[in-house]
Amino acid sequence: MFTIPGSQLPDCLRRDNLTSPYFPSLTRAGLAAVVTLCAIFALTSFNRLNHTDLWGHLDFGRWIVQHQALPTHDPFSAAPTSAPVLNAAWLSQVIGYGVHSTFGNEGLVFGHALLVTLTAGAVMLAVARRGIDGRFAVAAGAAMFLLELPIAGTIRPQLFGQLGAALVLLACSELPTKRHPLLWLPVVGMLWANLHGSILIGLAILGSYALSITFQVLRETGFSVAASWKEPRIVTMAAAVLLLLAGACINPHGPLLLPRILFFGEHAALAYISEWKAMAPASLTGVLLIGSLLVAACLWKYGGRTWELHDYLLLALFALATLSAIRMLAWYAIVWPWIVLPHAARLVSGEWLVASGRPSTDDHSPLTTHHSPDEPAAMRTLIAMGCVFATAILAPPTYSLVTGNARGEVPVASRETPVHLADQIERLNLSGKVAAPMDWADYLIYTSQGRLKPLIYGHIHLSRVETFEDYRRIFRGEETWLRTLQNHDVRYLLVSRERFGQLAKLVSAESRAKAGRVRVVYHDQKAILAELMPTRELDL
Amino acid sequence: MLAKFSRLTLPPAIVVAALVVYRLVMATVTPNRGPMELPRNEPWIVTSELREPRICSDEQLAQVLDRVQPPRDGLTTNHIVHALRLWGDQADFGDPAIPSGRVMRDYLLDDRIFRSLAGPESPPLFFRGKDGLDVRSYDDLASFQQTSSYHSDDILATLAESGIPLDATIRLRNGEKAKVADLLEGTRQRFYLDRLEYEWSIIAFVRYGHPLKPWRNKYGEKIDIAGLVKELTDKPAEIGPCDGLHRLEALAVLYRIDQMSPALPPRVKHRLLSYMKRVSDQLALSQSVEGYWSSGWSRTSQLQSEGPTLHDKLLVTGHHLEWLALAPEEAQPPRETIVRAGQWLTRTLLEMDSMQLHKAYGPYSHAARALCLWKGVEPVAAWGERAEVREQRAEVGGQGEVKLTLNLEP
Repeated sequence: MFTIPGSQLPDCLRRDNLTSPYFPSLTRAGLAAVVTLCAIFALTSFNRLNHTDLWGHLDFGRWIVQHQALPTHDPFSAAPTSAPVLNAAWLSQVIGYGVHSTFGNEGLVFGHALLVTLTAGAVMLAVARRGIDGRFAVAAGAAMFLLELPIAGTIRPQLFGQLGAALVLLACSELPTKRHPLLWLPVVGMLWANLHGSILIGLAILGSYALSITFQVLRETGFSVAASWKEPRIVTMAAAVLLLLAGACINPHGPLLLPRILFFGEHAALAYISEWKAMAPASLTGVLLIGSLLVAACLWKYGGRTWELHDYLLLALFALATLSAIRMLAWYAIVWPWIVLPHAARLVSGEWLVASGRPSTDDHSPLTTHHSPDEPAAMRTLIAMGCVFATAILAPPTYSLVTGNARGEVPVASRETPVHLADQIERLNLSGKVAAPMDWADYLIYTSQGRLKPLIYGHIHLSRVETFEDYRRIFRGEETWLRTLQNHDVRYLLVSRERFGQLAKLVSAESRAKAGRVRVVYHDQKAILAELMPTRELDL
Repeated sequence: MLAKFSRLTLPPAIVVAALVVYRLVMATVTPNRGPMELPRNEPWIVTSELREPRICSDEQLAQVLDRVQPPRDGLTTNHIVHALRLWGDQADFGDPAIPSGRVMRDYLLDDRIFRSLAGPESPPLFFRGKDGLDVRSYDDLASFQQTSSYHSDDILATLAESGIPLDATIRLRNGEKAKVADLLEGTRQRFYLDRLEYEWSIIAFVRYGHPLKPWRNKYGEKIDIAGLVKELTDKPAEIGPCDGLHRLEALAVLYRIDQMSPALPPRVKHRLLSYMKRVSDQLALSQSVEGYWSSGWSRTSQLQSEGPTLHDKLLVTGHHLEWLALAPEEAQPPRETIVRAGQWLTRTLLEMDSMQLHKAYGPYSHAARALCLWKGVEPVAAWGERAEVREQRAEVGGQGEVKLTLNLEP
């Protein structure tokens, strides 16, 4: 057995027949990025459509399309209030409805996976633009995906907001050296303010970064305001914040959207929604948050790179926000890699291009490294193409779209989605007021084309607190359940046997009693659908 | 410029082209998702292989059958379904007030006959729904429940049991015609495992479609024989209509049909047999001293419901004897258990009040059918022979003198 040095290999073995000016080449980091993004796409696409407010958003999307207007008041509830509707997500609702009516459930799953993948890609780019090795940029995308695992399965307008946050971070990475973010930031702000009511997150990220830059400039000028305010970095950052804000004001509510978003979470009923609750340390969210903070602490101690003010500000802001409400993990998962990965890169590689964390050269390619050889090769492009092809075949939505075989409602929707029940409602052409578990109600509104009017549904912030309390009384199976339903003139009651066993027993018993007040119209192993006789008929 | 354009477009173009090729290839190898291809037009008929003459005498059986003729008054779809499966479509009771087997069959297949018996106001039994031919079920409307289907797919299962082929015509309200196969296809599309009642559906699928190929229902759920058997055997024993006893009937039917045309995986077959055997062992333990079972049959006799009603006892005992008659020998309890149950059943059916019997015709027809299966006789034949004897006796009794006179004249 013997070995031959590479340089002594014959040409026919060393020659890369693929390399050509007509075929692109890819670095190792580039290939790693493609593989990671494909993995994120595929893994996300295995999530089912959640049964909660997704369908509520599609309800609004359909209403907007059908009426060619934005709703001013709740159009779906059986007990509507005068509370004005905050149309902060109208655009994503319309897009969602358009995707669903054109491509069905598979289109929604595809859109979900695509948005998560794009966000991961934007995070990778944002981290890479900070001048670190491309491998760490790829790790940033993977870290984001890992951190948001507890909420990654939920498809909702927030995904657009997450992409917006990643783009704002990209702007933060670029702004110290480039001006082009000033062109697209207002567009991001405008789209974000119409896609999801989380534009304040973007302003908080950009504002924190601007504050940090300002502090840095002040420190450099010996805290001389006069000398600092004309500093180009401050002017740029101020312009960026103002442009994002200006873009955000272009929405149906104008600048008033921002204060209304700020006070959105004050509705008492939201306290019952799990994602609005404080984080539990033993939960997956808690483990991920605490674990990631420990990693950050280690890097702060041993990373060897200076922590800037925005590192502290953003980490503290989003960690505290996640502690107070689980749903904030979505933003923490995006911000954390952007803050921490440069420190990790420094610790691992011991190489850091610029002490300030800014790149020193004009070559900001995320997929190239400045010191380690990572020569592009056409073969890697071929491997990347194979990976994309394999992902398209493996990922359920793309497989369905490619082959033209949709999987059907049940395999795509989450297990709790009342698919069979909704089908029976459609079969019987039921309409009117209904009391249903609120996580079912959005879907039932959608499948009944709005003919069913639920007492409470996913948009509980639009309901009265008293109505919500009545809803809880009914589904707890309290003694007054039937009277409460009759008080609201509810015609149909839908009960999950698993979650509301007490009420299910009461409804079955009442139907068997044949007192003429309740009649079970349909039941299966999961649910009961009962018709309630109107009180007027009973009086007669 | 060209090189740059090529670098940008070549990789995605190649991937898209590969996906198009993949689609074309898959289109040729993926089976069509159209209607189920059924191996035969006639349903599988299952009869009892076992005989136990000690459960009742021929005379007793004839008397029992005499009492379970289809009701004259207050006929419901449920009566028709039970009477048809007991008597078959060849029965003729010689009484215009009692529907013949043919009329009962046509009640289910022809809306004109249905209306003549159910009343002109009654909504049709079948209608074209969004998933094909659909059946009006008991819970669909608050009114006209008596003329609706009582259990999910009980009508289709009864048609299968009565030997009605898939190409038999169903005449709908508007004069439109459909086939039994259309009803089966609609059922196949609507069927899902989370249903409360799936026993009759499975019986119909197996009788019409064995060996069953897996299919996807309208919701995209995959339905296969292993899943169906799991659903039948995994639930607590008494869950389901008639104290869970139609599940046992479905298991017995499936097992016996597979004996005629083996297709089940050995693991599934073993599961079926061991479940039936476990139940029959339990039945030997839980049988009452008198010979009956009641609700609570899956527990020991001491734990069964206290003071069971006669209806309860007849319902449970009749159904048990019926599925046991269809079950294979390996799944049987000691024969004495059968004999005691059969004799109690015969005695009770003969002694009970006629009004009470007709009020719960369905369960009692199961009991009568069980006796026929264990005796190895067709109900029409067993009843007809005795009826002829009775007629002759009556004739002899009424005209004896005349005959005698005539006989004496020469």
